[in-house]
Amino acid sequence: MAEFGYFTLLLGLATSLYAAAVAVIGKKKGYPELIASSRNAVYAVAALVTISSLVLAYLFLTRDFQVAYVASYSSRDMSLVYTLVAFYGGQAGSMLLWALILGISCGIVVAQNKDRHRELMPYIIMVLMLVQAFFYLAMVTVTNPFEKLGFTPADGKGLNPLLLNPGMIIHPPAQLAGYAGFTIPFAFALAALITRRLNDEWLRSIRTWTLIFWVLLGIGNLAGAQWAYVELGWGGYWAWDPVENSGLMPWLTATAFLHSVMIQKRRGMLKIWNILLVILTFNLAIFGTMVTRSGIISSVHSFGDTSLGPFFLGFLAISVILSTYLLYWRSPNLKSDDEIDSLLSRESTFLINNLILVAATFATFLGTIFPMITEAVRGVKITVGPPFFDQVNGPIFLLLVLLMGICPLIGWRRASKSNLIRNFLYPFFASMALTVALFIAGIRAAFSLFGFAVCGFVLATIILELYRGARAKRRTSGHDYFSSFFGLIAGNRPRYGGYIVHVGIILMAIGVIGSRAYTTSVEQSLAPQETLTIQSPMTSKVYTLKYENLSQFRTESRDVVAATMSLYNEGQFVGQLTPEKAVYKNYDNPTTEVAIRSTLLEDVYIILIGVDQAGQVAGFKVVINPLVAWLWLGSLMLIGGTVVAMWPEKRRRQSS
Amino acid sequence: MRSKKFFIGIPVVIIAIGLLFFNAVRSGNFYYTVSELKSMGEEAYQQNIRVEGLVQADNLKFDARTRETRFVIEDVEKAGVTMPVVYRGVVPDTFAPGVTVVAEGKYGRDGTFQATNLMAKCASKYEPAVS
Repeated sequence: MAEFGYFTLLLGLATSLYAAAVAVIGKKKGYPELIASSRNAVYAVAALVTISSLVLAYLFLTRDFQVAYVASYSSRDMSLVYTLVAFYGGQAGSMLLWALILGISCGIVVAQNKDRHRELMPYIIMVLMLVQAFFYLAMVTVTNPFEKLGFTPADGKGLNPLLLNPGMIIHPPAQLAGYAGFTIPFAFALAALITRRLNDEWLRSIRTWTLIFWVLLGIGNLAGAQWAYVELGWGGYWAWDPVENSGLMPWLTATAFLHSVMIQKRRGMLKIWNILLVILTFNLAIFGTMVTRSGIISSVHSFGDTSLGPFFLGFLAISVILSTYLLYWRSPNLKSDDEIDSLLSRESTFLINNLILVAATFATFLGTIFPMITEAVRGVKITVGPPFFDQVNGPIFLLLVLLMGICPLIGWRRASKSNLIRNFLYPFFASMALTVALFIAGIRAAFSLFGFAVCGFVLATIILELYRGARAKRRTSGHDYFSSFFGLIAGNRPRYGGYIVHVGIILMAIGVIGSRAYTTSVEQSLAPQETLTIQSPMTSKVYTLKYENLSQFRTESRDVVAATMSLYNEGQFVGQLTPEKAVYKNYDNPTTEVAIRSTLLEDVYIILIGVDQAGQVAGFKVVINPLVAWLWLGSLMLIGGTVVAMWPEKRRRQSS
Repeated sequence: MRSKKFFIGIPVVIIAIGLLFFNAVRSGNFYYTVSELKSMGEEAYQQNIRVEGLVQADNLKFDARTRETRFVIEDVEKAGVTMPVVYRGVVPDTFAPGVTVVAEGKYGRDGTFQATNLMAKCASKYEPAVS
């Protein structure tokens, strides 16, 4: 079976190369049959990569431990779900998942556009299939998921206990899908450059695709942050680690692209910029896969094998050089149709939003590769940590949130005074009132006060806009406010979906400001019945934790040491929490299982640092993380809003 | 009009990037191997440092009362060059003998590295131990 799996990989490699070659030859020589053949080859690749994946899943489910990959990442005691999670638990399987997502997406893209884009399609197929071939090449040469051992172990090693978390069901596939999917906009952009068909047709075809993979990458990042928060047990959700950064960067540039596209559609401007953003996003996605999978930049997340490093670096170099050259070569064809008239206009605020997103990407990139730069320049590696990223990106992101309030409501070309007053006067007063209220409530730190004020302002602009829309709708339709409101959203889904996403981002911003500015922690060792106290710097509440007792027990797969603690909020008993240390079979290291009591206002987060061998003394770290729950709520809104924006409209496409 | 705006932009961008670099160097940590740190002079004691090394199986102690972990790291490339480390706080789950760690903190004059932050940059983090 494993041999068959490897054979389907080889066949897939050959077929994708065939598709790429035949598409271009057919186009150049004018043989439509060859182009049709290349389309069929794309379908064949989609089928082949699906078969390869099914074979690997089958090997996992039948516990075929002679296959090295299966033996390394699964064991007999694993449940069905985690046995399937093990599919992408390691490098080879992740590569296959990448190829699977890309292969199937390619099949759909080609089927969708069978009778459209006759000029573009051959080149789109070429680019897609060359990228696909690269991943195949990696699998057949460096990291083969179907490699066999010389013997058959009785049991596999099992999945790392850190990955045994529901977050792992969502995070890796979403992240990989996000990375893989940006190949599609990239292929359209390159095809547009090659054929000089640089009007809006390529842009229109990729809107939904870009949105899908944008939201998947967002889900991947957020699910990863959530997993780190509940599973890794250091008290936070984001550490500006190279792997995290490289997941964020393509998402930022893709966000910029989603916005600047609107300017090109409406005013025919920013053509070079849009193509540049697509190229940047794809290459950052490849960079992200490389950082995650090759260990080329030392990171706490790095995976073992570095054999892929040079492989990816080569691919990235070729991709960057070719796409930049192509863009430079075609830049005379990308003349703007129009110019920006005024600084106070939607175009210019969109442009500023774009520049800020790219600036944040650049700062993050600089921080990520800073050790490499300083080593080249000064011969010494200097690493930058969270303080650098927080200081640089904090204000940048806040400015971005502010623009989020202004952009959608400011007039095109040149905003009039009445436009500004109409949309921003009430929100401005609302945010001033909020600031005063927060100040009285005890929020005094300048940055957080300002941050919350900005969030309040933007939220108020959106509420005002929705209220006005619903009121107007009610007048014309005669329905009540409630149904008018939903009618309003259904009437222009991309616009209102966008607003919902913005509200999600604001909730996330509130969560980030709260948890970054007001987090506090205490470390203390306790004997049973002793207590520790911690005061929240945001709400001034005093929490008391009483260490009741220590219990030890053994389950089939793990040995657990659990500390039972009673939590009191201002003297009121709230509940019991049990932080644990567990030692899993096959893994010597204990796994820390944190205990979290989460409320909308703040999380109490307890880590069991360690236990005295002889006695019952245990070391604890308790962290208060204000407003973290808002981050997760905002994430859900972001997803919901994107779904609304993407939802296909019923047969009214022509009218819009 | 257009090109003028463009030229005003250039110095702004250069200044911004310059500030970014300055800020990065100022808030950054110097990254050394054990042997590099040992062979440095006076300045070794004055910088914020990240030191990388392999955790040794011997002399690894955790005290639940003080929450202090004491261990010895060995240079990743030069075997035999070692340095004691003391760290107080939450030890990452991937920390274990034989694993590469990055300790962040200050180098003490007694030759012990005082770590305030500990990262297990384990090459086998998500891979099972090779037996």
